[in-house]
Amino acid sequence: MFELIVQVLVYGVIIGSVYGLATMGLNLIWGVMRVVNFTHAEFLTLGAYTAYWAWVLIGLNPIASIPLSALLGFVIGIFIFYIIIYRLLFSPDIHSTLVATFALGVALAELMKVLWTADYRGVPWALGVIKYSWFSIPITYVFTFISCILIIIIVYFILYRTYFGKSIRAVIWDSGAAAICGVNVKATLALGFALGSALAFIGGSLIVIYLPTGINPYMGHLYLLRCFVIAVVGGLGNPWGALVGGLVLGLLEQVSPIVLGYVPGVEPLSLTPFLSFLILIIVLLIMPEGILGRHR
Amino acid sequence: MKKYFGFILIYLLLIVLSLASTAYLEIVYYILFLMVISQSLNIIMGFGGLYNFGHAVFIGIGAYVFALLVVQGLNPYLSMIAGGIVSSAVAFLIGIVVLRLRGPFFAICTLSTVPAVKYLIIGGKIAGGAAGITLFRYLGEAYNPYMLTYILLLLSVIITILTLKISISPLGYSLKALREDHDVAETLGVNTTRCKVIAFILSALFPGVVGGVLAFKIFWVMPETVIDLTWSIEAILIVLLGGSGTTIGPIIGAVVYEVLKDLLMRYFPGLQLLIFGLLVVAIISIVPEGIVGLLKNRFKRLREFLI
Amino acid sequence: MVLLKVENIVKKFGGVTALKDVSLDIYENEILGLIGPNGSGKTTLVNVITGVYAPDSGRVIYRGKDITKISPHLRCRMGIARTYQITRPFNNLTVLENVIVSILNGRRYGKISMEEARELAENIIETIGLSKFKESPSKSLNAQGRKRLEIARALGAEPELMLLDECLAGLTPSEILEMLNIIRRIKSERKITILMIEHLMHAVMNISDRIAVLHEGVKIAEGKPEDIAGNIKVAEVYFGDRELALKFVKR
Repeated sequence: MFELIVQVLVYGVIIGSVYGLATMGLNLIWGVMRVVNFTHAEFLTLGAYTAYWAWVLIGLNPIASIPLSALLGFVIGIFIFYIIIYRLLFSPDIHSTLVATFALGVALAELMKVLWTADYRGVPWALGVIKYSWFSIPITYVFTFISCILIIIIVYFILYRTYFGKSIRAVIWDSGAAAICGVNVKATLALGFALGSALAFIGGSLIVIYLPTGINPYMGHLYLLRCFVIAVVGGLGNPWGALVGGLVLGLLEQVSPIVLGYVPGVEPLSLTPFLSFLILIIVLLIMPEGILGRHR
Repeated sequence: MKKYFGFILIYLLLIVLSLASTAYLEIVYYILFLMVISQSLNIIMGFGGLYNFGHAVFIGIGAYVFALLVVQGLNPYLSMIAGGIVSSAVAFLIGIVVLRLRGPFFAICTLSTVPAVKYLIIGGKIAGGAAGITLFRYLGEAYNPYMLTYILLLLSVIITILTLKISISPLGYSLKALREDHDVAETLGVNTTRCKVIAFILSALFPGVVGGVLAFKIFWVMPETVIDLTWSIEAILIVLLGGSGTTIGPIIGAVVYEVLKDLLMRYFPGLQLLIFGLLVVAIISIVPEGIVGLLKNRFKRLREFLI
Repeated sequence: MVLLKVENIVKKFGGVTALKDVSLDIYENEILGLIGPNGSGKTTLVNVITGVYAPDSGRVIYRGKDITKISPHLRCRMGIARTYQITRPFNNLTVLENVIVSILNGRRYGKISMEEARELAENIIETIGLSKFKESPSKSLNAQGRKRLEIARALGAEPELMLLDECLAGLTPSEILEMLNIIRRIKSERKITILMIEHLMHAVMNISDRIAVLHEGVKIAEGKPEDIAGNIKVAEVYFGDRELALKFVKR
């Protein structure tokens, strides 16, 4: 029993932290400009493909390709913001950005299919396993976790110690007041979106480590539900909320299959996402602000 | 009566096309399929302003109900109707929970229902789980493509008449008001909850029936084949393309969309969804009022036909 | 006879108490002016009366019936309608359609046909002077048009009590005179009771039967316009300085 609990906790936290990192971008973008970025799933996928091609073409392992993913994500984010998002922010219909990001996501997924086919690909990066009597964990998982922590610390520094970060937080709090204080809101929004998309790309690269052969243009859809649950449970406007939500989901995904294994006549691995959906609904109804709420 | 000219023209065109060849019959089938689900979505999205990304779920429910009843020996046509009724009932249950949510949260929630329902069916091993239900044994001999297409035609006509009636009824006015400004509508007497729930139920009815038609066509009902996010995407695209909140919009939109899709398949195979994705982005940025809106602005004489 | 009674209303938003124990009576057929500096809680009070906000404590009583827990749309059907300070027309609907919405959902909810509603809407629009624009989308109206539409829409619900929130703001002097005439006619011809939030002193003093003054969520005075004009506390609140207020009032 003890072994089981430790196993569940460790894997839950490790995997949950990557989920959280992968979702931070979604929370950040919502916080900064009240846009639900439905393209998020495709950003994750693009991050995964970045890791794949870095591996195949340059021999970089997923963790080493993080700076590359971050850069790509940032640039693509700026691009998308200025071409599509900005003009829709002022549209009278609040759904414009929703539909646009959703459609863009569809287009990107299809573009990936055209460029790289729908074949499943993988990054078989393995460094062996750490074993301690009954407990074992792949070394790559440990490195991933450490990278996650580092990236989170870097994000913290960006948000709290740089001018850019402060202007983001100001805009999250009150964009009008921020403008009056001399903050270039448009540039801040663009950078916020770019940072969000960079985080999504990084998340996608790291997720690859957990999916040895699962990269395909539509993998984003798998994470769609997960990311929404994480984002909402943690608190949509709050990047740290994503981490909380990620941990919650990470742990749920470890615990639930075990518990459901005792329930006759069900498929635990498939029913678990449905449980997370129920949690999403309950949180949306009872505390739409999530666990950590909006402000930061 | 003159103002219905546009509708009559399009329907006649479709009937003629369907008789031209089996290839055209297939195209008309898809046009009508999309027409019915888009027109239904128009009720909640166009009139009510609620973007139901999970619209495809209603089709799936209808398909499953159809399959389960047909396997029990029930007449297929009654099973289709039952599919619609159950779909509406489910809409009521989902609606009273989900319709409280505003804008983006409603979208997130409804978008999530599509994978969620799939996981529920597979995970809970409901109605055959991932393997689904096959219908060859029960329906093999009864299959007739003309009949399915004309059923869709009938459904399309009915939903169009229903939409026309709604748009000039108190319900229609109330929906449009709450779409424009939810809180102001409340203080002016609109029972927004009731209106939204009714609209949601109505929007689920015909997709449920159409689910049965779909099941009849493909003979194998399983999560992958009858719950497809693509239909949600296509329905939203068609409503926007045609003209959100108008009655003739989804009809024009469905025809234009399917024709475009066919042309693209011929010359740029595999690229359709990509182009359509970009098309939606373009529409929503540049012409949010859709084809009907564009035509109304340019050709003032056509206004009375573009309702 | 008291049409609407607000009893000991307290409304807080986080750390801010917008309304601190406010009580007010509105008598049938009167025009009650509600004045006070910005942020004193006037619009909050209207939101509590219409049911948009639930008070933290206190009651709202309409025609002797406690309506504190009744939802906004039902209060409208009972006879309470309002306009908005920052106009909020149903943008993509025509002027006519805007008014039809409130007619169908107001006091005649369920009891009026579409043709009758349309006719009634055209009448109201005629009275309010917007006939030229009845088929135009409401988002194309200018400031005065929008203010008039707010009133036309509220009239569509056929209320007994109309709550006007700064319906004169942004109007030119001649437009203000026209609007005041419309309001007077509403009171006399349709026998509607009016609560008017207003900043334009000369207008509200001129048209009101009685006036209530709010300051920082507290009602500091209530009475006839002449009494309010001579009230030292009111003057102090507006001038911010007791000496100056005394000088003003002594005159």
